[in-house]
Amino acid sequence: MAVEFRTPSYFALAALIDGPLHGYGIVRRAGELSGGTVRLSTGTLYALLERAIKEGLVVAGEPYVQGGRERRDYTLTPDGRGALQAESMRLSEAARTVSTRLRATSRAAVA
Amino acid sequence: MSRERIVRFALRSYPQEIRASKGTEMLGTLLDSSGQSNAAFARELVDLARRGLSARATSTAQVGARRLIADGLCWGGIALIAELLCVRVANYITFGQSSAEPGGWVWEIALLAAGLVLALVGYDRIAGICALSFLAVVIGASRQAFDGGSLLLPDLIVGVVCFAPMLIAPRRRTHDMRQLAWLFAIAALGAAFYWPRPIDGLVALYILPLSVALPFALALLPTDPRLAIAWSLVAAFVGMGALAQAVQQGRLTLALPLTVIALTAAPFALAITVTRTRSLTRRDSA
Repeated sequence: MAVEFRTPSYFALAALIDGPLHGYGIVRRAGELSGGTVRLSTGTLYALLERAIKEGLVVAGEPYVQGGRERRDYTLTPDGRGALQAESMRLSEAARTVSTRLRATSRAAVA
Repeated sequence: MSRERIVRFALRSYPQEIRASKGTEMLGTLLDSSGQSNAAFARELVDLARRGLSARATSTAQVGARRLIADGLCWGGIALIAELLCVRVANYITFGQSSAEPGGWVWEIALLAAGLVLALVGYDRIAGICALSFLAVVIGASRQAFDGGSLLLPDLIVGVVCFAPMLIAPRRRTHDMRQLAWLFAIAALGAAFYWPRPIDGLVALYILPLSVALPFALALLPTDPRLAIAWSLVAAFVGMGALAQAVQQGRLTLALPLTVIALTAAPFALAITVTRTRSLTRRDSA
C-alpha cells in the first residue's frame, strides 16, 4: 500500500504502534516520538483520525469515562501497520539516498 | 465564561453529526492538551474552529452543487414571497381598498400568505404552486403595478427562477412548525414598510435586511453558499425594481452601477458554489 503521510499523521499513527490510546494519549505519545517537534492540536488530531478510520487504518473503540472525561481508544489495524511500515521504509530509503549523495559530493569537494 | 463553555461554543462550528458523536470526547482532549496555558488554549480553540468550519464545508459540499443551488433558490423564493407579501399588504392598506378591483389584491395576498406559511413549515412544493399562481394572477390581471413599480419581464424571470425550484426541487427537510416564528420578523418588516410613510419603509424592507444579510452571507459563503445565493436573487429583484424606478425618474446614471452590482451577485454566488463544491468533493475523495 503506497500511502504518503504528512508528518502529524505519521506520528499520530506511530503513537498507536505500542497499543490503543485515547485522544490525549495520542497527542502526548506523538510529541514524545517526534522529540517534541509535532504538537498535535485537537482539531487536527480528530480530523486525521476521522480520515484514518475512513481509510481503514485505525478503528475506534467504544466511549468510556476516565477522570471525568469522555474517552475512546483508537487501535491501529493491520492495514494501518502495513501503511506505516511502507511509509517508514520510503522515508528511510529517501534519507539513505540523500545521505549517500551528500557524502559523495563532500568527498569530491574535499578532493 | 468557563473554558468548557468556550470549547462547547467553538465546537458548534462542526456539523451536528460530528458534534454528536465526538463532541464530548474532543472537549476532554482539548482541555487536557491545553493544560493551564492560556496561549495554548487560544491556539487550540482557533484550530478547532478552523477545522470545524472545514468539516462543515466538506459536509455541505457532499450534497452536491445542484442540491445547494436548488436550496439557495428555494430560500431566495421564500425571501421573495415575504418581501412581496409585505409590499402587497402595505399597498392594499394604502391604496387597495379604494382601487377598482380590491378583490384582486385579496387573492394575491392570500396566495402569498399561504405560500409563506407553507414554505416556512416545509411544504415547499405547495408553497411554490401558490407563488407561481400569484405570478399568474398578476399577469392575468395585467396590473401595471408590480411590487410598487412597473411589471418588468426580468422581475418576472427572477420570480420564476426562485419559485419554480420550490416546486421542482424542494428542500429536503422535515416539517417544523417552529419555523413559523419567522412570521414575527416578517410582520415587523411589513409594519416598518407601511409606517410612517411607505417610502421610508423601503429602507427597512430592502436596505436593512439586505445589508444585515450581506456580511452574514459572505461569511458563510465558503462553508454554506445557500444564503449567498438567496441573498443575490433578492438583490437582483431589488436591483430590477430600482432600475425601473430610475428609468421612470430619469436618474439612470445613479441606479445603473448599483443595479449592475446587484445583478452580478447571483452569477458570482453560483460560480463560487460550483467551484468550491467541486474542489471540496475532490479533496475529500483524494
